[in-house]
Amino acid sequence: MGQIMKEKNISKIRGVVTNTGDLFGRVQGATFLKTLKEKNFPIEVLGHIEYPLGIQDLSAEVSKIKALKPDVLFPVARPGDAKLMTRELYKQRVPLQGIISPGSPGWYEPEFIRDMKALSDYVMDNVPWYNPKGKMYKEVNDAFSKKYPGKYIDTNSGYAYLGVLVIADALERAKSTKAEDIVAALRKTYLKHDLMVGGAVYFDERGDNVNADSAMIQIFGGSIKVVLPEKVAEVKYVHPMPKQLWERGM
Amino acid sequence: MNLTLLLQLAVSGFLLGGVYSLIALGLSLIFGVMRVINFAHGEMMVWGMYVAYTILLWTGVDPFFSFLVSAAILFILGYLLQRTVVNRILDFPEAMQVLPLVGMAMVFENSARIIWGPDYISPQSRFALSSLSLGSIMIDTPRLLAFSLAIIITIIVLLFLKKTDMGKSIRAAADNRTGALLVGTDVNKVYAVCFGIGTACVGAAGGLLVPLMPLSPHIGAPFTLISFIIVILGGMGSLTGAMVGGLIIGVAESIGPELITNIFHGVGLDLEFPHTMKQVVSFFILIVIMVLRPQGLFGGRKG
Repeated sequence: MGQIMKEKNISKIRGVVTNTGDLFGRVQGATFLKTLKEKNFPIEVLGHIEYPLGIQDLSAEVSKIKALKPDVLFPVARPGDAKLMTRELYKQRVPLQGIISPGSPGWYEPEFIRDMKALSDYVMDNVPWYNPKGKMYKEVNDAFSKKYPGKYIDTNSGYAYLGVLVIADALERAKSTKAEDIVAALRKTYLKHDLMVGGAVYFDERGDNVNADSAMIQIFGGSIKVVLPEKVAEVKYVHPMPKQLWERGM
Repeated sequence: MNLTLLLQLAVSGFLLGGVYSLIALGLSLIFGVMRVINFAHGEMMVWGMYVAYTILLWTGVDPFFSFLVSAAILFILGYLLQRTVVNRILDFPEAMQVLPLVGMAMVFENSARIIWGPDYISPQSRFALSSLSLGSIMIDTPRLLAFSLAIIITIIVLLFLKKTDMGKSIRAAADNRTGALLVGTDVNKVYAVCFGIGTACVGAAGGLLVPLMPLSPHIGAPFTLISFIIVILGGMGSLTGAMVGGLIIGVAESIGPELITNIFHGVGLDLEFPHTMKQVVSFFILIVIMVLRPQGLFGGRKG
């Protein structure tokens, strides 16, 4: 966000944060708010709206967003509520410079893009993502797309594949099937890859993969592109959105 | 206090409340006549949604027309369910009536999952994204259409019950089952038709909801719950009560969190009433009504 604000010469963003009321949504929403405060980001949070998981009507929440007049909406959503929110933003004509998720699956799942079509364009999401410039990514994605036409590697399938590679690597180094040998090998893991954004897989003493990183993705014409960090970006990000949701001819 | 926001919330809630009323109408009708609570009500509504969605997908016919097909199919499903399952449990203790219908809810939910898949689906339909502007208030067109049709369907059901022979038989069987049997009424058939009408109402409501919310096999249960609240609030078995209860719950859930937050601020408390607790508003109203008028708003009268 800092880079976008700097490059676009934006001194301050007035935003509204929304999240689902489940554990994931609450933690993600609260962590985003905490980070903004700690890092002293020039983002003024006009409101924080939390709503129940599985909600079937977001008209009240979107009316409140509209009343707060934010520049940017920072939503943490799952596929159902992401669609519901997008449609309500359209119907209530909420003007926004951008929809930028601090990290949630609702905005990049294929079903969101399939159903929302042009309304999904320009949505940004900050997520662990594949490295589009990586050799390994290209090989794996080619094989994956050949086997499952129309599907592509994303956060879930990419990390699932990487997980199998980590286990295979540990088994080869352990040269044993004993649990303690495999755990010891896993602790010494240093697996270089360019499948996902981030560095080699390396676990700290808590077992966290400390070199994992996230990317900013954005939807263009129904396809997801990495826009940040620059070294792995496929295209340049677009901000503010050139057209409001209701101006997209749907 | 932002009056425009409150007015917007009241309008949106009122319109959605009309659809809630239609959903609850079916539950209330079934309970009023057979004294059975249809625990598969929400899941049957989801079937109504999927029928309208499938018609939209295959033929392009908008759910605002195909809801009639949803109602017809759900009538048949309801009729068959009554003849095969519900009729056998009518004289069972209430606790034992629950299990077969909860089982049917699972059957409906999981069969929908097998047929249509587990994903959320938001199909594009003609009116799904349209809205009208009334000054600073936006009126959601599909919500307005769904509300208007829900009111029309409710009036038709009320007229059917009052004016037709079958309607009179349903009311007679509801008043006195033994008496109806003694005068030669085929009570089993009357019950099946009544159950069918109840599920047709919820099927129609499902069709009307397709342009408003994403479909998924598991979204039925919360609608069963909200129907219960509405039916108890309006008075068990009262159709007018279901109508009024639906509107009250629709408005209360929409406007409640904002209104309560404004009250907090008005008395100098820096507190926000979270939207995650908007159903608490419904339950609070329910508790107040139960304390002040245990039979519900229209309980004791016949709808």
